[in-house]
Formats: sequence, C-alpha cells, structure tokens
Amino acid sequence: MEKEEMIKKMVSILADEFEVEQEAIQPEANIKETMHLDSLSLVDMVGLVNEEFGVEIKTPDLPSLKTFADLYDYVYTRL
Amino acid sequence: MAQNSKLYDILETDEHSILLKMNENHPVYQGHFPGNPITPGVLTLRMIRECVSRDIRRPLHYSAIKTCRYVALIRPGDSLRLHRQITNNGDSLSIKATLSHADNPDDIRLLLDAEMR
Amino acid sequence: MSIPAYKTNDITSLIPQRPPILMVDGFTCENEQNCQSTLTISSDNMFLEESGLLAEEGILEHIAQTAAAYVGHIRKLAGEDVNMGYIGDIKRCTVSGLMPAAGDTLITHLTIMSQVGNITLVSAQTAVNGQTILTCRMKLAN
Repeated sequence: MEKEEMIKKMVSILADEFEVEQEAIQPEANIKETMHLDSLSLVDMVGLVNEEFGVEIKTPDLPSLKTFADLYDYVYTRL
Repeated sequence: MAQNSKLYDILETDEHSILLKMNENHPVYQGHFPGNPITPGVLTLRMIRECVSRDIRRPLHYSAIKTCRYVALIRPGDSLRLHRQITNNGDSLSIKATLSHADNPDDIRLLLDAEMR
Repeated sequence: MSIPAYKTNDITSLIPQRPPILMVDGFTCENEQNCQSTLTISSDNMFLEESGLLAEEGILEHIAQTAAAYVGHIRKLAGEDVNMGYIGDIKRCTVSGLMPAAGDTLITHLTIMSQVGNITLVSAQTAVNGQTILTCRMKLAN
C-alpha cells in the first residue's frame, strides 16, 4: 500500500469512528484533541488500527504519537 | 428473578427524570465483589430497560446498544437520577439516557444510546 | 507475546465474581488473541425473566466475565494476582433471535482487539445452539 493510500484510508476510518469531519484530520493536528480521545477511546483507536492495518501500536509507543503525521509514519513503517 | 429483594427503589418519577436508590441488601453484592460491593454494570442497563418499560407500559428488550459508557462506579446505597429521552421509530424505540448522582448532575455515572423493542 | 493453549472449568481461579453472579462455567484460551467460554444456564440463574428466557444483560455479563477470565489468565501467567475488573463501555451491540432458557448453553468467542495499559478491548460473539444471538465490542478496565 502506498503511503497516500494508507493516509486516505486512515482519515476515512478515524473520521467515521470518532465522528469528526475528515477536514479536521490534518497531519499536524493533535490526535487526542481533534478526536476528543480519553483513556477509553484511545483503546478504540489502537484496536481500529490493528483491525484495519494489522499494525499493533504498543502501549509504550503511544505517548510519542502526538499528531496524525506521527501516526501515519508509525503505521506505514510497520505495514 | 429468584432473589426476593429488589436491586433498587423508585422514589420519584416525572416526565424529566426518575429518582432511584440502590438497595444495599440485594444478594448480588455478595458476589460482586466479595467484600467490595459494586453494582454490576449490566444490572444498571437492566434498570434503565425496566424504567423505560414502565414508561411505555410494556416489557421491552434491547435490540441494539450503540454506546453504553460507564463513566463512574455505582455502589449500594447510591441515590441516582435517570434522564431518558425516548423516540418512537415505529418498529423500535431509540433511547438516550444519562444516569447521574441524584443531587449532582455533573457526577455522571452512565451514558447510553440504544434501541429497544 | 505468545501463550500456550489453556482450558479450565475452575473459573473462580481466574475471576473474582462469585454466586449469584458467576456467569461462566468453562474457559478456553486458544492463543493471545482468541478465547472461548461457556455457560449452561441453571434454573436459578438471576438473569432469567418471568418469560423463562435469559435477559440480554445476562449475556453481556457472561461476555464481561469471559474478558475478565482472559485478563485473569494473562495476569496469572505473569505471576500477578487476579484483580477486579469493570466494564468501561459497550459498543456496536446487536441482539437478535430467541433468547436462551434454563438448560441452554451459551458459547462465546472473544477476539482481543487491543490492550492499552489496564484497558482491554474485545470483540464478542455469543451463540446458542449454533445461532448467534448477541455480538458486541466491550472494554474491560482492570
């Protein structure tokens, strides 16, 4: 999968799951603030990424994933 | 249900909300958990279903639960206020419910978005 | 993490729940992502309704205790004690078909979708006599 294609799919599933506009999911935007994530919904995001991309986000790695660009890089390098 | 005591008592009902009190003597607390009684989350769901069934005057069951979010624990003896919004869709009812502390609406315990039939 | 297959009927070694709300009687952990549990409904089950059928909340409790048994099993493998768990949320739950009665056996398949800190997200499917009656996503906080 090309990175552009991965990003497009990611934006689509995140917007759908967390009920935000696709336009709000910009690469430099903060993940937690944009999607209003708390400790429970953060687990939904991790589960969704695992389900859709087969990539397991490790708990210790979560704090380093601040922006959507961080998330795209993390997932893309592990596809 | 085999148990002879009720899980909760309804203290007040009006169109806006229902005031409830969790009965401390219900036998479920012996098993959930031994020495640390906490109301099982699923029994809170049943309590809401029973309250809506009373509103509608017929027994209802969940056909779908879009989200049920347990925000904070409920313990025996707690007084709670249930706000419910019921929309009739013909073949099902949409239920939006919030359960909070009786005297403090900001102390939310549960948020529910479900369908019943 | 890789764990060996495991099967037990000694549920109270894996979860802190006790009668009258013990809602699992068999547990099998196939691997780190999949497990299965059973419950044969006794005539004094607290979730049986006046109709003689099990309430849907009883199936949700069965699923929650299956997730708790998984967490308890993993904790024991790591040399930790079994602890109390609470349902964090329930999503995408659909209920269909005829609810089971006393004597029927629930079979639940659980897929572990993610674990972050003390929160476990599972996807569950419960069947009776080969018919799926309830599916949902659930989070358990331990």
